[in-house]
Amino acid sequence: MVAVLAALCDSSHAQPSFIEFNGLKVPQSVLTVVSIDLENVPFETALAEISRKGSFFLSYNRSRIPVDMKMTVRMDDVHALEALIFVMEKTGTELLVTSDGQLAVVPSRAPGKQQSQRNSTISGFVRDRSDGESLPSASVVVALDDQPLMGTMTNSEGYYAARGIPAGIRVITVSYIGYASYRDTLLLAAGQELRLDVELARESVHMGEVVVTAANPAADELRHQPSVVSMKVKSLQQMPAMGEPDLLRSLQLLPGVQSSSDYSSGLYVRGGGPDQTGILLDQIRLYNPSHAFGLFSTFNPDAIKDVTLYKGAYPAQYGGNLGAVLDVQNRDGNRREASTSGGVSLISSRLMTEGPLGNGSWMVAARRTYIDPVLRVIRGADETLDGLGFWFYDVNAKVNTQLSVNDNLMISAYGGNDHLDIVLVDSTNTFSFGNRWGNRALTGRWTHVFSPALFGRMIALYSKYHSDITLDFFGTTIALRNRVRDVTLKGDLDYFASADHTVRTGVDLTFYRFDYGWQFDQWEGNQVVEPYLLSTYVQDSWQVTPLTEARLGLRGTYYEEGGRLFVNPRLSINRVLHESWRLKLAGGSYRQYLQLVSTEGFSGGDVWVSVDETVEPGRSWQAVTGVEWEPSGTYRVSVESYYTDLANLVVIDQEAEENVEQETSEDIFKTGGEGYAAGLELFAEKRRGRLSGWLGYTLGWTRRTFPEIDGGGSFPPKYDRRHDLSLTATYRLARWSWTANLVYGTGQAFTPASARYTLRDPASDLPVDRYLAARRNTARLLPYHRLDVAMRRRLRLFDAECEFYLQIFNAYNRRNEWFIQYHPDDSDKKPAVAEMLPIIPTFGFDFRF
Amino acid sequence: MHIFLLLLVLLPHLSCSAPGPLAADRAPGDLFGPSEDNLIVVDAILIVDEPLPPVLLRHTAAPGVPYMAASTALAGASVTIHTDDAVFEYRSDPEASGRYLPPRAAALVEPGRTYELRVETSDGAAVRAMTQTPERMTIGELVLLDREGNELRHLKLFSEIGNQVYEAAENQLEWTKGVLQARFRHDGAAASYQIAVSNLEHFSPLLFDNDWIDEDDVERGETSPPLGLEDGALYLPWDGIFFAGRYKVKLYAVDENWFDLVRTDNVNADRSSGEAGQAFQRPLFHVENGIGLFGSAAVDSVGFSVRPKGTPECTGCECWGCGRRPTGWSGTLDPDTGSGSVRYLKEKGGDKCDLSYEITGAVPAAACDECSFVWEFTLTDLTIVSDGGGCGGADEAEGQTVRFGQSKEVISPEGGTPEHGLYYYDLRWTRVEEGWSLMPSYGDYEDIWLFGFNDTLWHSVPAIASDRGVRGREVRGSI
Repeated sequence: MVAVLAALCDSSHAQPSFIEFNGLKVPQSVLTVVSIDLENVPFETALAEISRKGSFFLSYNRSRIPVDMKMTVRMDDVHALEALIFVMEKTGTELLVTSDGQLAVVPSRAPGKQQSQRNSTISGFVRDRSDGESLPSASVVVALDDQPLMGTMTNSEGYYAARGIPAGIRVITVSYIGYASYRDTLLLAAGQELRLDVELARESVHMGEVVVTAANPAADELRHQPSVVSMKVKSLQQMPAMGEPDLLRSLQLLPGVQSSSDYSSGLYVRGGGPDQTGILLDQIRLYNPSHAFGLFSTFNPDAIKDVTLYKGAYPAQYGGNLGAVLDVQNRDGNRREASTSGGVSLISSRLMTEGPLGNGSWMVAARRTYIDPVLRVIRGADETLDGLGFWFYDVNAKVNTQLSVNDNLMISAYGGNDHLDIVLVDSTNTFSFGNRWGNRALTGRWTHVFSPALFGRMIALYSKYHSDITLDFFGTTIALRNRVRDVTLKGDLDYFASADHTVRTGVDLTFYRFDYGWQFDQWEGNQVVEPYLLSTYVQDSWQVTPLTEARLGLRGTYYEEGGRLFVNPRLSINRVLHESWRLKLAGGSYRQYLQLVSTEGFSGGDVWVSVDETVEPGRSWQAVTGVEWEPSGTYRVSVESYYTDLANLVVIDQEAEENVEQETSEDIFKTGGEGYAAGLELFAEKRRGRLSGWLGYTLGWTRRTFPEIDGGGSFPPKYDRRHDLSLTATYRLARWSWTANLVYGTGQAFTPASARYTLRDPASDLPVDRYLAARRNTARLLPYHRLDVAMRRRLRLFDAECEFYLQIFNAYNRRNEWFIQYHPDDSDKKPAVAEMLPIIPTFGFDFRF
Repeated sequence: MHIFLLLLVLLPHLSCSAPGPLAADRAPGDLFGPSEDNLIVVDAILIVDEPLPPVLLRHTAAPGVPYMAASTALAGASVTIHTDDAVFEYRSDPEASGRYLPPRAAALVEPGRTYELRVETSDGAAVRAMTQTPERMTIGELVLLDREGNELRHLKLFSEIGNQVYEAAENQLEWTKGVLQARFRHDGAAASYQIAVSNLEHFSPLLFDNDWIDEDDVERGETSPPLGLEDGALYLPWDGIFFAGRYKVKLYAVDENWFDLVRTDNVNADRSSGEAGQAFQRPLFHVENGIGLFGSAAVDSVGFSVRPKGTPECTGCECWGCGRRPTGWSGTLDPDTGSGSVRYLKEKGGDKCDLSYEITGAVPAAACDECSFVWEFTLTDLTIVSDGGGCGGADEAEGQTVRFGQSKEVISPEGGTPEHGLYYYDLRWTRVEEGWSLMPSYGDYEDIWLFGFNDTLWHSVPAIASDRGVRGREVRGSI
């Protein structure tokens, strides 16, 4: 066959100028803006018209392309190249760019490969420009002019892959809350795989002393997924706090998240207890995320990069908890320059330092209390007090190295400890009490980009929790010990299958070791259980239609203890109803194998127990529906309803015979619990401007039923809260900022006394005056409300950015009620109300250099 | 800025005056649920091989108002106890309202049998409850083990030597040395087991000497939570043994009703873990149309004596100092001779004191209305053993004549000798708060009047004087 090359051009363009465009050399004139109006003309005529108006050469073999195919083209003010690709679209041809910048129209290659040849892929990492930190959950949208063609999101390592992009000029927009969006116009050749690593600049732009774009709003929903909240560290640090900025206490200000008391940082999410929320730090499960008996959480705010709370219906990649998941990622470290930040408060000091390391980075953050000197003074004043000490510390460290453009190795470690010692002595006796608990965790993670569409991670995790209580009383030793160790091996793959499907799949294998020990005088016992848990999941994020996203997932688990095998489905749907309106649906089923035996207000003695074959593991079904309205980037309002059905719940059985060895779960727990939690959450947020903040409101109901509690009747647990309101506002003016949190909640449920009576204690045969308890939790304490305020001022000191703050917890000194105590032995004494914390002012400063 | 500071000052006042749901205060009555007054409270415990017990009937009272147990007695009810082949008609106790007595010829409670209590009140309310009595239970062996579980020796049982167990050499224990194990002979399983520990002394000292716990912080009688048998035996922990002297330990094999009440009530249960304030709950009652306990148990007892740690082997109160009460005033008076002594001891804290007065020529005086007997005596011959700065005015009472009486009311029936209250005369008769009085019918102090009161009380009494007016109110803070 004789190849006839036709050249459509104007001679005046014999020497076209070229430009570099995404690595390709193309005539600059392809970007000429043209208008085309052709009706029912041959394909060849259309090509000629476009090349003429665009002033570029176009080669083709008339015998290989359908030059006579009729078509109608009407386009106004488009790039010539856009018009060219448009007319080629249904002709079975494609555009070839030669190495010297010549453009040719050629037949598409093999039909089976046609699609992939025609569509392109953009992939890469999204990072913070200032420090190189990867940005998970950043939004990536590829558009033709302003019409989105496809969108995706960076994964937990900040990697994205946008596939199935038609060749041509495309506009890519990468955005992340709190950062200036990245926007670029790309010319994508057919089948091109473009690696595009993007760095985003932080958005705080100061014009004089006026912040025109406020710092981040405290909470942002992760890509509009139902029941997901992402919290920014800056917001966390600015919240008024009780001495220390605290992640968990800040989360308690979100709708659907509650605290049990001022003394506890435990999370009660949507009617679930603290153990129904899994808490992960760099994917490691923390078994006790608290310091100081629950007063503070273990998370050092300086070290945190990203916080995601799944309040319910969480995706298949997570498991092991009936209710919610809190996923915290620590900073990778600054890849650009060494920097140091920290803070000094009345309770502790903290320091974080980070810097580049080869192609990667390192980070070390530490925090320690200094209440010790105060305690030493107390100890010195009491001659019988031979020892009194309490302190806690935590250390986070991370090393990150880029082995190649596609390989990254990260090693992360965490260690935290609380230590309490009390020793009383007199001339002949010693009394001592000691309580120590803490977590140790080590993670090794290797990530590899196998291809632009396939991202993998291999993770090895080691976590150890220990809790020791020792009491020496007149020579009698009483000790309780709990160790939970887990070693996990994980493999995950993110497969960006097409423009419409992103599949995530993985396998986890966790080897647990639960070690319980006790000693009472000369008796001691030890029980060790070493089960393993095998989990696998697959999850497809599916762009069903341009307006509808779905996330379908399955998680299968096999737990050795009891030989339990379960498959749990997960579903999430997100549909754009009308411009700024979105509809969200989600649901799933969940299983929980580990149970916490805890004391509110004394979480130092937390004990984790694995359920065995005698007790069915806890099960929940969750359903979430929601509507979101986001008229602009400044305002957002969402309403979500949730329903959780719970079964196989357990609570610690404190009515069992005391000296009987409790070996099985059936011995330890009251079993067969059922319940539900239902509610409606409203979240209204203003993200930008001098005044920013949010209003959260939850209307909720929670019920539990246990055959052995309250005659098997349904009762509200203590944390059932009908109304829960939180208002958070930050006002910034020049170098000052003022933040206030106002919270209001229905009073906690308690069991009231309904009568007095006298009954002998049968063993002592003595009459005992008693109160008769009414039905369980049928009364309410006074409503809880509290106002916290904080005032901060930025300034520069010795080249360091500093911020001084004064914060007042419980500013109007509301003595909120904690619980009721009756005094049956005193006929006249009124019931006592134990109160929560009074007003607590604190001050301190943060610095960064 | 000024507005901000002003707000900070004003805000703490806002919660006090906040309206409605924001209010800071509440009426105490709001802490009570809807009143369940006038529920019938059954109180009857059947002990295997003992006569049918009296049945106590009371009613509940509204919460939130001053409570007097005596005013809740339920009189005028018809009470019967049924077994398979017999009905026992109870009668009202003429001396105690709400107390119903079994027929005089009632049989002993039999093991392994069902008893049903039926009550019909005067206003027609009917209450029923049933109990299945446990099988007989006896303690076959009481063994002292060492820390490794090896047998050290077998202790004597009541079934072997009766009340001599307290003096038997085998039964003299050094505090926390070794562990006692009671091995059961039991004809059938019980729902659970429970231990009641009673110190039979009334003024023996604490077994430990320290600055943090004094005798007011602990009891001479303690009961255990429900316990399970381990290989047919119960270990008797040292918990609950705080005082030197003789101990009687009752071991109960209890029925379901007893077990359910004790494990779920708010008295014995240890519910230290869990959420704050959530331990308060309604006990499990097995009473139809009422509350309370109609339960049963089989019981056996063991006895032994405990001496302080590190002391040489000894027997009886000589091990720990007869008549010695660590802090406060204590007296002994022999009614036959009218002589005795009063001792003041203070060993708490840094100020110590040990002194005594002799009593001679004590004479009975006219009893007060609330007293069963009264003695008048004069304090003589002060002896100060030691004065570490704690004697205060206690050493200024020599020559003073005082009048004390024992109350009719028993304030503590536990142990072998009932403990009564104490009255003193100061122009009128007044009850001595935390005063005690008893007259043992056994042991070294058999038929000796023992009495005492605490240090705090003594120094708050303006004066104690007889109507003969000797020194009257002149001496503050001493007899």
